[in-house]
Amino acid sequence: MTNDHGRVRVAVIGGGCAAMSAAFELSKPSHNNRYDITVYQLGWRLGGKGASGRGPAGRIEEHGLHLWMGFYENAFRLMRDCYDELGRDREDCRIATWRDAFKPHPHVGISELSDGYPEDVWRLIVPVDDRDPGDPPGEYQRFTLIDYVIRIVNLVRALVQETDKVAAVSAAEAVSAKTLVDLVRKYTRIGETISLTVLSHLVSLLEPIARNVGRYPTAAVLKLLSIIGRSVHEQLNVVAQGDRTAGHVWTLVDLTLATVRGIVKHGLLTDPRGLDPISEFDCREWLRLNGAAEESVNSGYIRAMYDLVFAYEDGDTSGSGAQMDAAQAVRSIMRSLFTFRGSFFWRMQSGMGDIVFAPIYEVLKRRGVKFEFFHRLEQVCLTEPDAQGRRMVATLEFDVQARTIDDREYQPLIDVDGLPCWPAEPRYEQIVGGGEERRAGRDYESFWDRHRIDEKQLVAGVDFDAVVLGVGLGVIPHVCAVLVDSDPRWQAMVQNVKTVATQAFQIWLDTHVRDLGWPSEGATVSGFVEPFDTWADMTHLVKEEQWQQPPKSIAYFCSVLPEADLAELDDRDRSIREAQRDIVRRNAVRFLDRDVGALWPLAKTEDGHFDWQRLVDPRDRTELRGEERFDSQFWTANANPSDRYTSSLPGTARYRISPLDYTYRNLTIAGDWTDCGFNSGCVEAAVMSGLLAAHAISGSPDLDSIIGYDHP
Amino acid sequence: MTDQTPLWERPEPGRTRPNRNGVANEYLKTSGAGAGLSDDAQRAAVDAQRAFSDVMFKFGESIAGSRPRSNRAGSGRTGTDLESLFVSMFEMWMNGTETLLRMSEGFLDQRKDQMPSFDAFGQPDVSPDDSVMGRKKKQVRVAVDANRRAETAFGINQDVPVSLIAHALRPAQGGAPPIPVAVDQDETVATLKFRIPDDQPSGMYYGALIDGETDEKVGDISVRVFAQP
Repeated sequence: MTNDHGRVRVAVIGGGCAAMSAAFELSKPSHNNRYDITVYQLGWRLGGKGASGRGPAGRIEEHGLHLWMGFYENAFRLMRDCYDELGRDREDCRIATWRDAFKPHPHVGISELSDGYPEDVWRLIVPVDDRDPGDPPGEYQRFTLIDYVIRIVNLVRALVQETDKVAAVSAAEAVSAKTLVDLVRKYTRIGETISLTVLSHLVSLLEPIARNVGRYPTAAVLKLLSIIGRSVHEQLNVVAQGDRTAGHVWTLVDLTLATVRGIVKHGLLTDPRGLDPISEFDCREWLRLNGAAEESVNSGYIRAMYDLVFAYEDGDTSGSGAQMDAAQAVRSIMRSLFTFRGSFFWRMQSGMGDIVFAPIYEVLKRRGVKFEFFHRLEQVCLTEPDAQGRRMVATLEFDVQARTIDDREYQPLIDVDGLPCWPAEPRYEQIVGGGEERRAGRDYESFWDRHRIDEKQLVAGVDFDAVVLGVGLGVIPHVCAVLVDSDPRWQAMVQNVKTVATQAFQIWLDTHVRDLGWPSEGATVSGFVEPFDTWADMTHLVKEEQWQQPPKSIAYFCSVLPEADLAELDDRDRSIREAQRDIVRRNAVRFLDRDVGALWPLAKTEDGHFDWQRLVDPRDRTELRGEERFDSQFWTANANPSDRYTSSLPGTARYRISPLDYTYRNLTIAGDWTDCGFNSGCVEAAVMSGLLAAHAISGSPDLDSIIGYDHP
Repeated sequence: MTDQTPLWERPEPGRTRPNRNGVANEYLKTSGAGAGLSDDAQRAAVDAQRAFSDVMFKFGESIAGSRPRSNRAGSGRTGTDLESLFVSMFEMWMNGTETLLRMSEGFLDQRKDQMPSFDAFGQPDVSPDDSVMGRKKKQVRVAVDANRRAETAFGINQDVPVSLIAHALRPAQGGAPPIPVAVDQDETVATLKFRIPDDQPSGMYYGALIDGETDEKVGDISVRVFAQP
């Protein structure tokens, strides 16, 4: 039943985007205080994979690079509602509104490689408009494949114009099936080259055909796409001689045509399962099957897409490890290209903990949500099966990692020039024996540091009524052993839905990025070389930190961390996290010395090595020379089970379990690893999952208000 | 919690899966006034979206271009096997038939209950026989059983015969063993079944579909067996 006040007691386990989204939804005033919510979080800070802290000089230390995309409708709506309710005064806090917290970020760079070496970096500037993600319902949005196909063919038409070799191409008027058939008969002779003029004409037919695709023979449509595709390949070969701009354009045309061809060929336009039938394919494989040229499939565009979602099984970037569910890839491309609002990317104006989790924490506290930090979930125990074979959560077993002095409520935030932030380590002054804990080097966020001062058992019906399990997927096998052992679906989920470790480092330099040899500020570049394929210029954060002598630039790098590198470590060793960090350090030092010159050609000394003296030490230790100066920077190995990135491997989506699953009637799950409609490792998926978890508990929000849940 | 105390239970959800049906996926929420957007407003919104998507990228300059671009002349058309298949099947359609050439693919899965079915393309909303939306006819399905991944395609250029025979799938080239195909049919469904051995060489395989009563060829089936990862 419920507690004495008739409220439903909800235990929210975890502090990441999914758990916080669920808590935010369930604590809304519209629920009339129905839910008595307690958040249980290991360590000292909320955030999960998005947690950040303030280190020396108040510098922001993240798990990695977090970019928000312009189609993150649910995530932005959460943050906008949060900031509205927070009602900060700009006189007191410089990040008062969501517009202070998030800024459009249109500068994207894509690296081209040759024989695995960076050959070129191509900059894209995606137009910004005045729309806002998370705008309230009322704006017209269509999520149908036919609309996406129409938009794609319009993009093809626009791209063909970009070559500057053809006159402006307008969409053709409606074309009859007979006309189409006559045209493809005419051009179907193998080997016949068609002129750019003819190509443009054929491209102009795509939109009217797409709008009425049901009226045309499938084979004729596919043949038209083949003819266009063959001509595009010929253009790719022609421009291989040196016209880089045209080469990039034709690559995009090739990829978009292959996508349309695949949608038509696989019958997806009328398949009630949307894009799911192609979920078994890897994205590159699917594009190849649909006629994309090999060079297009291996272009910087595709590589960047894989890099941004760490789509490398077991962190294997050598080739065969690159695996991405084609359905989710196409879904992501469609949403990101055609439904973004405002800007393709949005960038946070401080650490993710400061921008996202501190405001959420403050709002939840005001709403009466309770927080139990330093509580590490150990086990979810089930009841015995009832007469119908049903089981429910019986108890939750926790290790208590630390206790506060006089059992006072732990106050987790610190003030950084008026901005509430999370520290990079616990506030030991509030903890019993805090000094000793610090000297002992406790790592409260490490899976391998099992230190506890107490145990706590929560009993269903006594301490809680409902559970929102918002931990990371990597933790599930450990804390849900009973569930996994007794439920084949949970077993299949943990065996098939995989995670990947990631690595990241941040450096602060005494040199402007332009003086390093990069022509502009604020870029994010992906598709670069391993072991750090993504770089972001984060210099805009300098003003948020507390340097006595501010650095002139900040750079974040990240990538997957191969399992092969981790396999040799002994996971019984409590200090394994240090060993993992040593691996990242070696990778980072080698990368800076050997590879970063392709981005920053002026960052090298005369003998060709990275100029380590450019690194800014917050402790200003002049005795650190050469490579030793890297020790003053920040790097992390995200190999904790709870920190690992959720993968979307081909053929695995069907093993995901939905937060709406009704098998355990006092339990719901929340995380980007669940079946949440947008099955990708990202903030948006996590927020959607949290909303679904809230719906599972309360019936709210309506499923059709979770934007993108019902989506092909 | 005591043995007698019933535990709180969540409300049962109306559904537990997203609706990926493209027809039902028109997300259109109204404003607080309660009125939906007019047709004109919808068209205007779509046109605006289209205009915006017409030029998605401004291409900036290439940077760090000190290294010469590698010579990629002559590189890759891919999917040529499948493309050739489309060409041959389309030419077959062009040369002799006026009926729908339907493409259908099967996806490999060990568990047949997960094997998707590929029925006719929804309800026909246009009258021409050669429409993608198709006409209702006896359904034809493909069922593949193996641990290998494969893509299948078939076409039948007339109504499914009462007695449908499928010849074994033979490789386009090389001496790989044929893959036998069984036909299981009743009044409403004809299912083409075959098993790909684990050691079957990768490549394209083709087989004819025959009317068992007239011995006339009525279609083709092709299978692309992927290489082992």
